[in-house]
Amino acid sequence: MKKNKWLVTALALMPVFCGSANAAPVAGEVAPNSLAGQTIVFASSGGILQDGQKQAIWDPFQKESGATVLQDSGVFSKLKAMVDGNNVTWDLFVGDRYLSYQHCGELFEKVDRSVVDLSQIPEGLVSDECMIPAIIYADIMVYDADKYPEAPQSWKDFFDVEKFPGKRGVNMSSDPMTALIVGALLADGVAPDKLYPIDFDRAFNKLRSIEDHLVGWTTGAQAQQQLESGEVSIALVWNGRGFGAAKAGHNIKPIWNDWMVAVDSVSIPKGSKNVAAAQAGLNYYLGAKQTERLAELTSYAPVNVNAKPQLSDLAKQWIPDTERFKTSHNPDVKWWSEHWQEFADRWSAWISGN
Amino acid sequence: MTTAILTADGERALRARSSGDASAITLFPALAFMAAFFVYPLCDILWKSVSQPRLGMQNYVWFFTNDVNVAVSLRTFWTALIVSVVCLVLAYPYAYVMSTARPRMRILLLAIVLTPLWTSLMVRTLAWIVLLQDTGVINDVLERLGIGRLQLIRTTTGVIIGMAQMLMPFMVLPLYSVMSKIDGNLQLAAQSLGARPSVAFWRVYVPLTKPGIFAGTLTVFVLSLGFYIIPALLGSPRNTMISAMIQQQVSGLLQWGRGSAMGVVLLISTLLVVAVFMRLSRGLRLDGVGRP
Repeated sequence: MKKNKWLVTALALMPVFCGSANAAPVAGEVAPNSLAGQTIVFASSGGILQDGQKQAIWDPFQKESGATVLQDSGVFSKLKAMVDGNNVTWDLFVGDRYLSYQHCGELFEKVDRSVVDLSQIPEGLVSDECMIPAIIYADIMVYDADKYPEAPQSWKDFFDVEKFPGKRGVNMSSDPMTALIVGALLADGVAPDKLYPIDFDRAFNKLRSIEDHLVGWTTGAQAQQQLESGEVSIALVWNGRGFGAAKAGHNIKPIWNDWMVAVDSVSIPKGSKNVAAAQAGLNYYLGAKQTERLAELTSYAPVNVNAKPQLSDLAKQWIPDTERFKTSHNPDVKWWSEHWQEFADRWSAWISGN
Repeated sequence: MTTAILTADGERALRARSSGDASAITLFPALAFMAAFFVYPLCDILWKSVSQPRLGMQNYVWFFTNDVNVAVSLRTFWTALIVSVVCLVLAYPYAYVMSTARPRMRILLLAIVLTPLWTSLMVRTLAWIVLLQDTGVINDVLERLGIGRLQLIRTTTGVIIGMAQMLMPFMVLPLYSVMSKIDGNLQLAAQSLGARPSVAFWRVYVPLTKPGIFAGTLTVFVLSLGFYIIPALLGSPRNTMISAMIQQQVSGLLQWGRGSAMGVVLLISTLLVVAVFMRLSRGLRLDGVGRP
């Protein structure tokens, strides 16, 4: 009897040892019951995204790994307070890749590549060593097809208030949006491969040139509401909000030219008490099945190249798929992160009318 | 008559002061609470403003050399001033009616003023959005009246309407408490001495209410300075007030040194305003309101 128990334990441990010695990790897999009794806290941005993440990723993760995953809502300043105060209660945090880049190593742990399989992530989405992509979405121009029988096609059209009259909805929240700057530069005739270093003067002057035609939004809900009420005829929004307006029965259409790839990230806060379990969680997050399900629940694009989500016909028009990536811009995260402070100052000056 | 009241007040105040030693122990819990949850965090903010990201005055230099900060600060004070004036103009007649109304009516008027205080801020602000928006109730009525639609939401007007409504009780209550103590016969006496009613009102009644005017205006002004949600929801980005800028630095950019410096500047300028008000209201008492 006693002998048997030893044998069972040895057999059970074998794959663990062999695994760490030889096999590379596979995205989406976790050794059965390997985290029994452990608890990790997942802090995300709430709403439809966090509900989807819980259902698509953490519920099955709990079943397979034996770990308990608690949900919390994450705020970046709270994360900094936790790390500064040496009292980190979160193990996984959903943020964005600019902040992740700026605070990698200081506020975030590095992703352990011997545990997390990054090979299935679409190209160009891992921008620093402390993050994995959580979802892909789009900063995209959308228009009201009832107002423009002939569809606007480009950033030049967005700024052409004579050919396409009507108010333009743009992000004027305190959180700066790189896509608007890139769009202004493209409209002003900057070649796509000559965008960097960004000429802020030129971009903001271009924006000021159509100042009277701009209507600012500060939240996604407001962006969608402006489209639905007909207050704006064309707008730069997150694709989810354009989709929301279209789903609500409005004739809103996306312009898949020169859209900007947007990525939320998942990272492990520095000083997390369950780093190993959190790393295993990151690897599980990236699985094809999990990201597929997440995409179906949220209409944000999956971060695994093998994911094949089943989407409605309308949702298919609104999701950034592989084909559409060819006409996108992926921001130079390194450049933006290194100039973020300057960008934020210039942005605040612009939105507050100075 | 008024002299007698003031003297009685003074005596009561004196008595309260002399019993101060005995009440030191009873004060302790409140003082300890304030030290832990107000004084300590405040010192921490002061320290952060000169130590993050490194020791020095760089955050203050940044604040005063950045046009946006200066412009937004001025806008914040300007908005607070307009809100205070709007509140005063609306609250004065209201408080007057309250002070002359019969008890049952007075309770009703009081309840109307206090209801906004008992309603959740978010619910109230969203209600204002519904009322003020371009396709909202007010604009529908205006259009039916043939006046046409006005841009109310995302304008300074919208912000001022929302803020003034929320802060109204802080103006009405001090005015009412002063007015309710004024002897109505004083105006009659002035008229019997030959003053026209309007003169009696402006030269006798209004000066007597000055303490209420000062207390109410100061409270509304200081509270206005820190507003965040109403300008964000009813205004446009062009109505940003300083609290939103602090939030951006602290939450969005993790520049706690800068955010702290902005907070300190706001605090000091608020204290300056309070000091000026105190000065003015001290001059008021020297004016001899109710003195022989």
